[in-house]
Amino acid sequence: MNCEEAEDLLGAWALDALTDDERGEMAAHLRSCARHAAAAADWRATAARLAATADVVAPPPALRSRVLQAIAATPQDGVARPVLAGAIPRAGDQQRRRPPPVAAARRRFFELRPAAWAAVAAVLVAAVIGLGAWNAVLQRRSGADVGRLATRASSVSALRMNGTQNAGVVVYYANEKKALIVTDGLPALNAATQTYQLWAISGGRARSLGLLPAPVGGSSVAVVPFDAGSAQRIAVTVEPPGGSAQPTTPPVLVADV
Amino acid sequence: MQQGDQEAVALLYERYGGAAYGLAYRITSDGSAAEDVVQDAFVSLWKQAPRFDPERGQVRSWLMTIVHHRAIDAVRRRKGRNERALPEGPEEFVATRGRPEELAEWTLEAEAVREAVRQVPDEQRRTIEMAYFEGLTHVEIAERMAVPLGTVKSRLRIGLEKMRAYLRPRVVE
Ligand SMILES: [Zn+2]
Repeated sequence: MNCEEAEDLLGAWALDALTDDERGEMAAHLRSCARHAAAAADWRATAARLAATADVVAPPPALRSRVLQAIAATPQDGVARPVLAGAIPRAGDQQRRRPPPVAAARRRFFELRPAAWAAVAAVLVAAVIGLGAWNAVLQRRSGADVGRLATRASSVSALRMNGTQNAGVVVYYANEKKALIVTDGLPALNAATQTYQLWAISGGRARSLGLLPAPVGGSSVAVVPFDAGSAQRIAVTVEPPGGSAQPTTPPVLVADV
Repeated sequence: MQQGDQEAVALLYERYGGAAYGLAYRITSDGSAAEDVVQDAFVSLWKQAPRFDPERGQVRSWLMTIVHHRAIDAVRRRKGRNERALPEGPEEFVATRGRPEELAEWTLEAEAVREAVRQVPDEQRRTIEMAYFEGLTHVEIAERMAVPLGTVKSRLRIGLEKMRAYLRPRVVE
């Protein structure tokens, strides 16, 4: 297969829609052509994003315990093998990979570090911080993942709960007229009787922004349409299941965007 | 076996179980097959967890890629066709813990991807979806749509390129 033919098949390759013969020839070309190897990885990453277009569907409740039982009965792969970002593995390639740095290998993959996130959030939400300040904070932190969220943001505001500042953040994207809401330390509700609902508040009037997903470990995330030109405050109230037309309880969370 | 790790998998299941089940169900159209796929995917995640660099990548990308492959395999088995070898697949992704900011990023990304797909003209989008959600080869798609193979190749290519161009400035790698 030459470069022109490979170029032609990039879309089908990325979507795994080649026939077996074609796939073999394409794989051989990618091993010998750095340009198309890079392009193929890039295209495949785009194709993989299609997963996000499937609707989220709540699995049957019994599946959770089935999964956890299966995990409890399954040993983990013993030897830590490094996986290099962007690398395209090939058969027989394993032994040539670089061993992981000792420190990274020692860290447990699943070690959760809510404290690190909380520390970043605490700095960010101490006041309404502009984009410049946000970036300065992030550059001092190794947790640059948080920074990726902020790169397109217009403003970052604190979510306040009962007067405390540390209840999460609202990141506002003016170009897209959207707000990203991330809560921290939000108590779980009894889903049978209560739900969290989001509101845009303007001049004492509330407009529903929809329901806030049930928090997991205090953290819940929502992206809602929001225009800071027509409303200045986002609030969260506790409402009956399915939500209300207007708030029926005082807000538990408030942010001034 | 680490108790903490099992709890972490439970947390990941809370966060991503619905997305995983939704994708598996979309592909298999069969609740019990979708459950098996989701279970297999989480077990794979668990088994391979020690291999990941904790500082890089996204656990959900990885999980969803596994779910996709397993679900397509299930459909192919049902149709009595040979499973095709997995593409390089999951190892292109590396995983991190399921942190709140990762969930947030994914929520934003899902929005952007849905918008990107809406930018793609109907015929190109349908062609891409037949490949991704039905696991058909371009030859099979050409038969199904009664169009020349070259048309399918270019629809896949141009449609995916439109998605890619739309997403590039919006989704930070
Ligand atoms: Zn080439």
